[in-house]
Parts: sequence; structure tokens; C-alpha cells
Amino acid sequence: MTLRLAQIGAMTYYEMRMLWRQRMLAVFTLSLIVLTGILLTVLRESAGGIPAATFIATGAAEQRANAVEWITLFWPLLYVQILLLGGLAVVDVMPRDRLWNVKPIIDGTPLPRLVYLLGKLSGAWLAIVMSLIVIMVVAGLLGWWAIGPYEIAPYAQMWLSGALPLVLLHVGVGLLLAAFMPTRRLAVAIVLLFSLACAMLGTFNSRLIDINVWELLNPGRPYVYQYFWLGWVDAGYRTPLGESVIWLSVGIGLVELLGCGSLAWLWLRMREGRE
Amino acid sequence: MISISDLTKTYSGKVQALRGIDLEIGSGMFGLVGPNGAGKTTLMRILAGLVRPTSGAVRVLGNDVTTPQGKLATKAVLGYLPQELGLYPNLTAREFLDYIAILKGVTDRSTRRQQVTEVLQQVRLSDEADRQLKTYSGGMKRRVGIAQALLGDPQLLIVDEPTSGLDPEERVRLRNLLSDMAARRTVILSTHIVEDISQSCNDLVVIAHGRVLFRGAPRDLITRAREHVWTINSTGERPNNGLTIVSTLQLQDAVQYRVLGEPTGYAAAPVEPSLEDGYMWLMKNNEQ
Repeated sequence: MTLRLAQIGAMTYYEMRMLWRQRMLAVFTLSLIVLTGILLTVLRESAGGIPAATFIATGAAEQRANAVEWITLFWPLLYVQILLLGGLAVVDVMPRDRLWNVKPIIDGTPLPRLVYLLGKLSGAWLAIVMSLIVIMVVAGLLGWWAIGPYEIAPYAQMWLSGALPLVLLHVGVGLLLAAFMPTRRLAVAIVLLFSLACAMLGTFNSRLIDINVWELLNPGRPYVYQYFWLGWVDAGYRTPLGESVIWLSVGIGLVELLGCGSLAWLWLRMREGRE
Repeated sequence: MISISDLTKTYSGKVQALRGIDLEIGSGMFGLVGPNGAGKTTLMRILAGLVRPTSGAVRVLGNDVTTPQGKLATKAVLGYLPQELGLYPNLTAREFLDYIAILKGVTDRSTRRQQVTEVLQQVRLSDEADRQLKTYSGGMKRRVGIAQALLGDPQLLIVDEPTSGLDPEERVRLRNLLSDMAARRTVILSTHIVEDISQSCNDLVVIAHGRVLFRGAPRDLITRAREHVWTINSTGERPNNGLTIVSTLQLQDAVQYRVLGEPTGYAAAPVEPSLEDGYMWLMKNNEQ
């Protein structure tokens, strides 16, 4: 058991390091910071340089409505970007072992298939979590300047409860789908299509009022996105079904992850058997 | 230490890479030589647990490598250098070796650090250890590959074309390193370079078309070619008559050919055969 934990630990650490030394994760992080920065600058400018929180709290109803509209216009862009770039940032975590011909060396170690998959997954997750923390902090500081003082707890909840499970589950499924792909190019294409589909379908229905099976199954976790992201801006976006549907959505996400993981494990086993 | 019985491997139902190999390999340095496509790499990969045989039995240190448990047990004591070597370009050599060491089971940090330092010294990469691998030359990458195979103090070392890309000095150094390692473990060395075998192996196998053509000591292979190796100095055309030309040397006023066979009709001088001559003689007779 100690060896398996050590192997997962090593893979987590070194996969994270390699991801940060490649371009895509930096692109993911910077692009989200830039997009958030643009939103916040527009918000501040539209308020005539007054911290938006001030006029949202005390301004005329029309001004408040405009501010909320601006934010809810940008949130889907951020959501789409998180899903798209988050998936692409880690897409080649498994194909690259074949691409760079490192697989024979890895296969020559006493590393079980399951540990290999878990190590790859946790390395990608650690890298993405670090990226989200950086985005959260920088965006938060920008927000403090643009909007003015705001409550940190709901803001943190938006990221930690809203973005984190959404990204981890979506990225996890995308990474495991990429495990089946023989080439990096194919992996990128599949994950791109997958993420685009999830994002488009996730933003199609702007207000999830009832339980919708397809929205629950969507790996983009639209219930989570709407409840924590849009709901942060306007509580009216929060589904009247309450947090239970959030737990249901995340639970389904975990089942999807497990399913994809099992298929990836079987696929690796079949590949080894064919050789 | 290694027991192979009636081993066959057929790829995609058509290409028969190994055809009924029977071998027993003990400790020491064991050479595996043969032409391209002979089945050497397939045999190495089966022994390393990377490829499943089509039929036959393979036991490595008592472990059946055709079972999942046997494979893992074998890999726990294995050092493997593949023919097609790949490394993570964004890691430094030290990081890469540290990573592989943990995967191989060297979980204690101080032991791992010591081993990584030692293997870097053995392959003379200590000064470049903190550079990213994408900045390394082909020969340096090969040395990193050798270093990772040495981690974990393996009981079985399988090295496929280890001297590929190395300059002569590095080749000699590596041969000496592998010979030192063979004192207390089994080292299986697969190579096209017969000289690597002659300098370091006391037991070798010649494989061609998936079959064992020869098993024994290098001197026995050399003996087979005795009285069949000649030099012919010619100012005219190349010797023919069924002779195999092993090497050609440009002299001042003639060309000296080293040939295998019966030099009927030529003024030929007998020479002592080398291991390369023995190998070529074996291949020549096998083709006939």
C-alpha cells in the first residue's frame, strides 16, 4: 500500500510539474484572468468609475439591472472557456507517454494500470486546482478594485463549490476519454468537441427550474454552474429545487468519471493483451 | 534465473516474431545478437513483461511473466532499457530519475537521492543533471536511459541496444559498467554490435527469423568459422565464387578483402576468425 501511495504521489507531483511547464495550462490561467479583467474593467467603466458594488447596492434599479446583465453576459463566456481550455490544458497527459515513447520505460516499472490512471488523473487535477486558485485570487483582487469591497465568502464559494467540482469532473472525464486516442491530435479533437458540446448545451437553457435528465447527465454540470455562478449575481438563477439537485448532479458526475475510468482501464488492458 | 520453454509470439495473426524458443539463462552477462527483425526486441519485451507471448512458458526469477502477479513481481526487480528510448522533455534528468525511482519502489527519500546521485555519476551526467531533457543530445539521453535502468538495484537488467548513439569512449565505459553489474545479477544485452558482445559476454545466443541458431560461448562461435576466414589482396575485381566479404581495407597498391568461405582460385591467406566472422559464417550457413 505504501508503494502504491508513493507511486500515485510521484505521478501527481511530476505530472503537475510537467503540465505547468507546458504552454496550455498557462494559457488557460492567463486567459481566464484576462477575460475576468475585461469584464471587471467594463463594469467599472460603465459605472463611471464608481465601484460597481456601490451603485448595485444604492443605484437606480435600471443601473443595477444593467450591471447584473453585464455580469450574466460574461459568465457564460467564462464557463465555456473553463470547460474548453480546462479540457485542452490536460488533454495529452496520457497520449504523450506514447507520443514521446516513454511508455516502455513506465511499463517496465511495477506500476499497476489502476495506479497509472489514478496518478495521471490526480496530477492533472492538482495542476488545474492550482490554476483555479491563482485565477480566483487575481480575479478577486481585480474585483476589489473594479466592484469595490464585497463579501469574500460567497465569492470563494462561487469558485470552490461552483468551479472546482465542475472543472474536476469535466476535466477528469475528458482526460479519460483522451486515454483511448492513439494520437495527440485525435485526443485534442475529441476533447475539444466534447467540451464544446457540454458548454453549448450547458448554456442553452439559461434557467434550470425543473429536473432535466440531460442537464443532469451533462458533464459540464450546468446545474452547478447556474446555482453558484449565476446565482452569485442574481439569486433568481438558483434552481428552486435547492442544493439537493447540486449533490445529485455531482453524484452523477462521479458515476460518469468512474464509468470512463473503468473503460480506460479495460482499454489499457486490451492494448497490452494485443501486443 | 530465466527459463523459456517453447516460446512463440505471433503479431496480428500473421507476423511470427518468435518460433519455439527454448532457453535457460543464469546469472552473468548474456548476449543476444541477430539481424534486424530476428525477434530480439520481442524476446526482451516478453521477458520484461511488456508483451504477452502467444504460447509457451516464461519464468523470470521464479515468476511466471504471463500472469499479472508474475509480471509485477518481475518488474519490481527489473531494470529495462528499451530500444526506442523516450524521455519527458520538460523534466530535468534528476527529476526524471527521481520519478522513475519512486515508480520502481525506491520510496525512501534519502535512499532515492543517493541512488540518483550514484547513477548520474556512473553515466557521467552529474554536471548536466539539472538541465531539462529536451536540451540533451541523443547520446546524453541514452545515458539517462541507462541510468534509469540501474535504479532500484535490479536483479535483472535487460538492455536493448544500450550503446546506440554513444561515442567509442562512452561505449567502453558502459560495457565496463554492465560487466561490473553482471558480477551479481543477470544482464541481458541485445545488440547489433558484435564487438560489444565479444568484449563482455561469456554466453550468447544468435537469433534469426524467430529461432535460435546458436547458443554457447563466444569462443565456440568463433571456432565454427576457423579455417573458413581468409584475406585476399586484389588489384582487380572483388572476390566472388560464393565468398562473403566481411570487410574491405584500402592498401597503398591493392585492396585487402576479408572473406568467408572457400577461396578457390584466389591467393588467400588464412586468418584467425573474430566473433564477427563467426556470426557471419553462421548467418551464411543458415541462409543456405
